[in-house]
Amino acid sequence: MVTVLILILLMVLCLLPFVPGLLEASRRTDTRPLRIVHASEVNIRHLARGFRQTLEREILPLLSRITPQGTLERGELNDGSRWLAAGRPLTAAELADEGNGAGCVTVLASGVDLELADGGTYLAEIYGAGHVHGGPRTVCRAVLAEGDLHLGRESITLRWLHAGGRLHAGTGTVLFGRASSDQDLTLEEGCRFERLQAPTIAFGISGEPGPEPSTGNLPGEDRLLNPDDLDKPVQRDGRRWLIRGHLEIPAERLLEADIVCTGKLTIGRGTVLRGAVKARKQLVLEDNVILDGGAVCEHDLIVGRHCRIKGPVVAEGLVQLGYGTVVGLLEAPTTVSAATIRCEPGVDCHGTVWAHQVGDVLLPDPEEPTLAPGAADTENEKGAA
Amino acid sequence: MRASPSPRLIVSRTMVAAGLLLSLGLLLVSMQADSAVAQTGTASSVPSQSMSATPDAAPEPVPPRHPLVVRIMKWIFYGIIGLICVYLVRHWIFALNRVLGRQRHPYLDIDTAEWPAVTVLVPAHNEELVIADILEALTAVDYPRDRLRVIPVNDRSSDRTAEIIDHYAGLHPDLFHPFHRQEGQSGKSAALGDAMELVHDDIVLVFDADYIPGEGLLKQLVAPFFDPEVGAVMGRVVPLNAAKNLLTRALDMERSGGYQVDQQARMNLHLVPQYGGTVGGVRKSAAEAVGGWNPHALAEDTDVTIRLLIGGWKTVYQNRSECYEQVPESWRARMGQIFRWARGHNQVLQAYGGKVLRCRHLRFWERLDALLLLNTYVMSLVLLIGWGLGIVLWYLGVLKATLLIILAVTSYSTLGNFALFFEIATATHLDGAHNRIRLLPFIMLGFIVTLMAVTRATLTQFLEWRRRDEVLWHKTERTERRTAW
Repeated sequence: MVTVLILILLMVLCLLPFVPGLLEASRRTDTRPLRIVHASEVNIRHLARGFRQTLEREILPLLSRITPQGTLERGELNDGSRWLAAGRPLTAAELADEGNGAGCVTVLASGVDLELADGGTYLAEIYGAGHVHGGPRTVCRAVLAEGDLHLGRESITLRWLHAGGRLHAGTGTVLFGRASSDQDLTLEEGCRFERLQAPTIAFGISGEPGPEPSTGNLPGEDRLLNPDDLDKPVQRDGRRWLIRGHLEIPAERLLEADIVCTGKLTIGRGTVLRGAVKARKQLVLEDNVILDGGAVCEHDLIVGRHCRIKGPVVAEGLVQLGYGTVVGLLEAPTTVSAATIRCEPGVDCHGTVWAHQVGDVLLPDPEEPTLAPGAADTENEKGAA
Repeated sequence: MRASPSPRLIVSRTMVAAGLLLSLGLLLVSMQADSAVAQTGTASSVPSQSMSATPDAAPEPVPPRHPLVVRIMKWIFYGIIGLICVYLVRHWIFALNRVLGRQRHPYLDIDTAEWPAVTVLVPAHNEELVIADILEALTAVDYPRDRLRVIPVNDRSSDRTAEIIDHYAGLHPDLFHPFHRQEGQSGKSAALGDAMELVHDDIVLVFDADYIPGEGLLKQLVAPFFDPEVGAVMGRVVPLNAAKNLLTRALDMERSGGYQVDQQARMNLHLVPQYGGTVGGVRKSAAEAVGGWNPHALAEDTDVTIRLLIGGWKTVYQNRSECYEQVPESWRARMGQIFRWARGHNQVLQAYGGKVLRCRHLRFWERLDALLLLNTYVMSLVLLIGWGLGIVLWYLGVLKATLLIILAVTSYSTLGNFALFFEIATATHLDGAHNRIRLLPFIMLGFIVTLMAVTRATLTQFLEWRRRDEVLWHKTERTERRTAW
């Protein structure tokens, strides 16, 4: 009898884990297929687009009506959050009250140019039908400007920014989240960022155009590097050269291949590579290197001054871009992606820049005189000599 | 300047070290238990030896002298437990890595680039119920139209597949370039091999006819090819018909564990993510460099993965490049699928196992992972042998029950076609799913089916090793039409 009871108890214990399963199998409470995240949702402008769609449904038609009248309107969105639409410039007191006060609105839409006061904090999501100008040390949650968007020095944005015109961030500004522009985006020295996108992104040297492409003598066909010229055995698979271990490619040579190096790879100054490059350890591009393809590195990727990289720049550690370096082309934008990105003032990128941990626009090094645009030619001549 | 390891990384490494130690401990305990049995058995079974000793001296325990066959069986048994422990540790490492380790998605952020020309191959054999869906989806993808070419590969379909393909080709002549295959060897591998002859672009993506690529999927799958070391890319497969029945729900969880944990962990740890033959792509020049498409391969995906690995190319897994699929809805179809996979895998093991072992340029961990991957389907047979040996040795009085318990626990924690219960639990957590985790005990029933199917496949393959397997079209049974076709 005891044995039978023990056996029954054992069976019950064995079947016990199946009870919640049987219940779930019969109730079917969690049967939906896994939701796939669509690419549009991870697009840098996704939040700005979503905000604009919300505005277009409920606020923008009203804003276009009240702007000629110069009046203010208030209301609530479908989800109950409050908004303020301003058809006239708001005073500093009104902005402080509506943007951050106890009765702060969720959406603040302005039909005219908007001036954000120095040192103000704005937790509302801000829409400006014209230009939006922020004073120094402004803190914003999110801003969508149809015109230009200017942030004064040492400002902070918490979620996202988008400008239909130009976006300019003053010295020491911190841009958490996403910042994008339909025209160009300039980050002055000392700025920190996460994710940027614009046809042209200029780091440092406020307002000045990026340096012109190098006009120094490029290596010709007579400087073509063959696999036999390297001091390491090369495994050739079509266009790809696979080199095991560390490799240094000499200066001012021409390569027509995709290079894969399993160790540290250094490409000498002035070398032109018509292809892509990958290093599993550190990848160093010395000054004036030109890459037709992308640069990929499993560790840190250090790019010298006045380099040109046409394809994507991807590193799992640090990407450091030297003065005068240009990544991508205006007509062929590309992506720079790394855990940490450091740009010397004077770098231009076309496309997307994404720093997973932090991106920094470095302050000019007082020890080293900054090269003026055009100095690259002199450097080239020195190198050639 | 490098940042110091994060606390998560330290915890992860500690857990991995603990897992390794625990496994080693299990093996040692099992051997110790056996040794204890042997010593206890000596005292009672060899009285004549103890009588010959001096009365005040303690009798020296002398191990029993088992016949040679029994000793060989015993050491094979230890070997099997050791092998299972290796798999167990591997899966622990994978699960812990996904929860605590650094996650690698290096190419995910490439959303702006000068996209290269791409050819998409859609192999189809009697797919009238689903082919329209994928062709429709491909007309809507976000990829420069002048750099995209789709070749629907119709391999001798006897239904309306050809008609539907031609209809879409008529609507979008710049995009669709049908290939109606009427002769040659049958099967997906051979069809793709022939279609490759028509491909002029270096990057080739493959989607089976019942998959529905999302708007941004093509860019996500092409992005890793900017890395000149990448030879193949694999995206994540997500069952669409998960709600159908208990089997589909179990398979949904199993797929989740297999991709979300197993594949991504291998990507994180720089091991060997596997190209899966669909929702992925291959660099044509890389495939050609390692011998081209193998029309005789039963599992052309595993075949390509391993050959690329030996040739110095990387396979990349993109966990966030997701695509819906249909999983088998009947046990018969499921058994057939497993049977096919097992034979294909074993075929690759037979062809390239030795080469992987001898491939000096691969890192030790890569070699180990590739071998463990190739041996996955052999493990079912090994486990059954282990159980058989364990029972026989126990009845012979050579082993203690402890060992059988250890074997039971490690087997339960090791086997599974795609993933183990703790990998599935981890994946379910990472996917943010809730109540489906309660179905986890039912996965065990699936594993028993897997065990039988794989063993049958492996045994028959071993017995018929001289005969070349016939490569045919194998696909998931379609039960319902999605669009108006």
